[in-house]
Amino acid sequence: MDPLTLFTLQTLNALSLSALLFFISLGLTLIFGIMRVVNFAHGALFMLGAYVGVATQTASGSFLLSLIAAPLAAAVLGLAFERCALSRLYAREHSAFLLVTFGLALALTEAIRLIWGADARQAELPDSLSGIVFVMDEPFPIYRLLLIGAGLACALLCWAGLQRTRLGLLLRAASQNPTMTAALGNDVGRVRAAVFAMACALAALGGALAAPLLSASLGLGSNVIIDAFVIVMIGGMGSFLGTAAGSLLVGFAQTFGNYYAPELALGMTYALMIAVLVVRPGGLFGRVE
Amino acid sequence: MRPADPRLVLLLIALAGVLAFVLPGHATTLLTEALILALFALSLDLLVGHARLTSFGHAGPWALGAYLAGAMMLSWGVPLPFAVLLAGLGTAALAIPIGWLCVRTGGVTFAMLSLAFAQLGYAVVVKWNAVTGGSDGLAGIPRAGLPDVLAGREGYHLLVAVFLAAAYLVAHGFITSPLGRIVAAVRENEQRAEALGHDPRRIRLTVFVLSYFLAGIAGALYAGFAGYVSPELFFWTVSGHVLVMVILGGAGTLIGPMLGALVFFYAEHELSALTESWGLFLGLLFILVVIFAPRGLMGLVRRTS
Amino acid sequence: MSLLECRGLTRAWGAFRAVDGVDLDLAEREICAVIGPNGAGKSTLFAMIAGNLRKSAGTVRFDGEEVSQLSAPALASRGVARSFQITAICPGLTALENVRLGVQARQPLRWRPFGGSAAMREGETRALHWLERLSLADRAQTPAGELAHGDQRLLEVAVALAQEPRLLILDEPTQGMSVEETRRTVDLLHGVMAEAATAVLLVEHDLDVVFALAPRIVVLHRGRKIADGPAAQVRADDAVQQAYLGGLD
Repeated sequence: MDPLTLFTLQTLNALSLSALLFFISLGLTLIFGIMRVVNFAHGALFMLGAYVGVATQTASGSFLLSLIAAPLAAAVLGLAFERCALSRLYAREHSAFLLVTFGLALALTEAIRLIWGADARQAELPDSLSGIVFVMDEPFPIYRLLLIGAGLACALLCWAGLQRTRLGLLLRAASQNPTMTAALGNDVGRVRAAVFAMACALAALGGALAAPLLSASLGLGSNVIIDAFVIVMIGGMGSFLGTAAGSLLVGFAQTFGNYYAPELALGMTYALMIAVLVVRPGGLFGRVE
Repeated sequence: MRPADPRLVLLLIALAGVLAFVLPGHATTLLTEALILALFALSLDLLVGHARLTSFGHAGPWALGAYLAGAMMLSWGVPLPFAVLLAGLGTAALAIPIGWLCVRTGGVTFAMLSLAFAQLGYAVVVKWNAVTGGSDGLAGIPRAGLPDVLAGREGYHLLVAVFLAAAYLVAHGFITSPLGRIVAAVRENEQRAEALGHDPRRIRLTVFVLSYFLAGIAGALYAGFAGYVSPELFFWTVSGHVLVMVILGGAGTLIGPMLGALVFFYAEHELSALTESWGLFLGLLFILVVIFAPRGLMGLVRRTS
Repeated sequence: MSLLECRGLTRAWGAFRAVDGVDLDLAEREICAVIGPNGAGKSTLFAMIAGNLRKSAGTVRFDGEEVSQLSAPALASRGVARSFQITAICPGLTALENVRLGVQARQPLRWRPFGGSAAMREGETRALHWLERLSLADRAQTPAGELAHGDQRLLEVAVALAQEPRLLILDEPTQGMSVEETRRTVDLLHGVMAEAATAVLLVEHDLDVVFALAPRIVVLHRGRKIADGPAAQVRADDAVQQAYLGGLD
């Protein structure tokens, strides 16, 4: 394989990984931007999405249905958690959120193990998606291209939603100054609940999309959340553009790092994060708190 | 919150130490591990409770201390007490550059920076096979240079209790000292601290280094206790667990986090013996504690007394 | 030789000059008020002198030493203490502990990481003294954040005084106080300023407070110094009347 072809294929791989990472990171950054909550359960919700996706597909035989069921389940769970636990804590220090979301992550992981057992499960792609295409005469899975498309679509939709809709305006206002939004007569409580549910749904959608590639396993949540943290911190907590940029950076660093310098790849993303935070403590696109 | 009477705390630790000669063997082993975790949580309380720097990378100094002591005892047979102290000092030395970068910020950025450094440590030990044993870690670490009396189960337990008591005295002495009070001033109001002539970054760095020193000692004791170290010690879930111990017990009280460590450890142990789904109950327990006991277990104790 | 010598102090944000070429000298133990309409640059000037804000241009000498580039902590340990326009105290610590930290700031033992309990006790005695002088002694054990607003302002002055400064900078000590509280505060300040061997720079909106406390007045207007002299003389100055005093009527 000539270097250019290799480079192109790796770029496509990196983009598809970035797309998956974007789904989980976007929710994480939204939750932080609006609620100042660092959600440690976000990885577990991603994992929940993967499991619900696999289960739905096994039961119904439809991959598409799994992409609907997973976010729905996570949204319902997220909504319940926000109303029952988080909403009681907004007046408290941020360490309270840390503990409570950590508790959720623990409980959720265990609940998943109880329901689906300890073995990893992989989703089967329908025939229409399991094919390959030829990129510069080399075979490349269609599904990865689809992931890139899905990530792009999600980014554009969310961007438009934030910029163009009334809810988007409200979210940006709440992110800037929660007290002021409340004073303007908007029900900040409802906005928070909606955002949390939406962010959980996004993570679960990412999980369901990842299930055919990564397979659903119990370590998935705690591994993927670290990548998401790195992305959100690099991009700047609460910044949409930053999250997109961070996803690309980490996706590329991991893909190319694993290929060209496997010894250093693991440490590279962390070193990248440290470098960014030391130079710009608020992240690339964020403000300093 | 006011710190608890140090004499009472020392008495409790002494009691825990003597228990080794009363309890059956396996219970002693459990308690030894619990006391090591108490020391670990104590070290984090200096950062979280006293300086209000919520570290999410405390697995870093813990694992570093464990690896340093493990390597020293395994390769050179350095006697355990020296290995433990040297591991603490080594961790503290590394904490100076790391802390200098971390304490410039606060809040979430600090939490994530400390996390990144711990994860970086994880990446290094996994990949640096020749020195760290890679993902297998180092096994067969001896309790080097200890007389038989101390190398045994009860003896080692007593040794751990002594280290815990000493660490508590250091931590308590620090937070009630002139410098420790300056740390409180920096925590409460940075602008005021500057107007009093203190550079907040340098003050925070001091606590950071002391906290890493004690965490390194805890990790080193763990290496001697378990006889092996693995990269898992660096993993972020360890940082999460110790943070939970601190907040569960009541941050800023020193004794609270130590109790939190005991409660956490025994809850995990007992629940896992009772039911396979212990994680589910433990998770729910945290959620309930946060909602209904905002100042942790110590807050509950104070309210009822 | 003056204790404080400022030459050409300037702070610009883009084209806007908040403080523009201000010279200011202060002798040992001299008490001087800086007045001027809102936005005249008073707080900016103080922030530059105390090292809280970088200077766009100009120099500051303190006790003969060039200190233009020094940070706030460095200046504080040379004997500059200050209160802020927005009260800066440690809300979670008791009033006594707040003031004790001020005492400790000048003690040689302040860096000790362990022990030092004798020094701590001695510090508390000194701290109680200052609390008494500002009539806060009965609230010594109250967390500072739970004190009434006026008491918090006084506590901040007590902390600054406890540092035994050579230059004390007070940024609107009576800000947000009622008429009654203000009168009481002026009396208290009068007493402690006579007792402490320190020069005082004071920003204040309330002109009654200014005339009661400061024999010398400097007037700032749009970042520039337009008058500087004995209170009576500044009061009579035409330019000042127009720029400031007249503006209030």
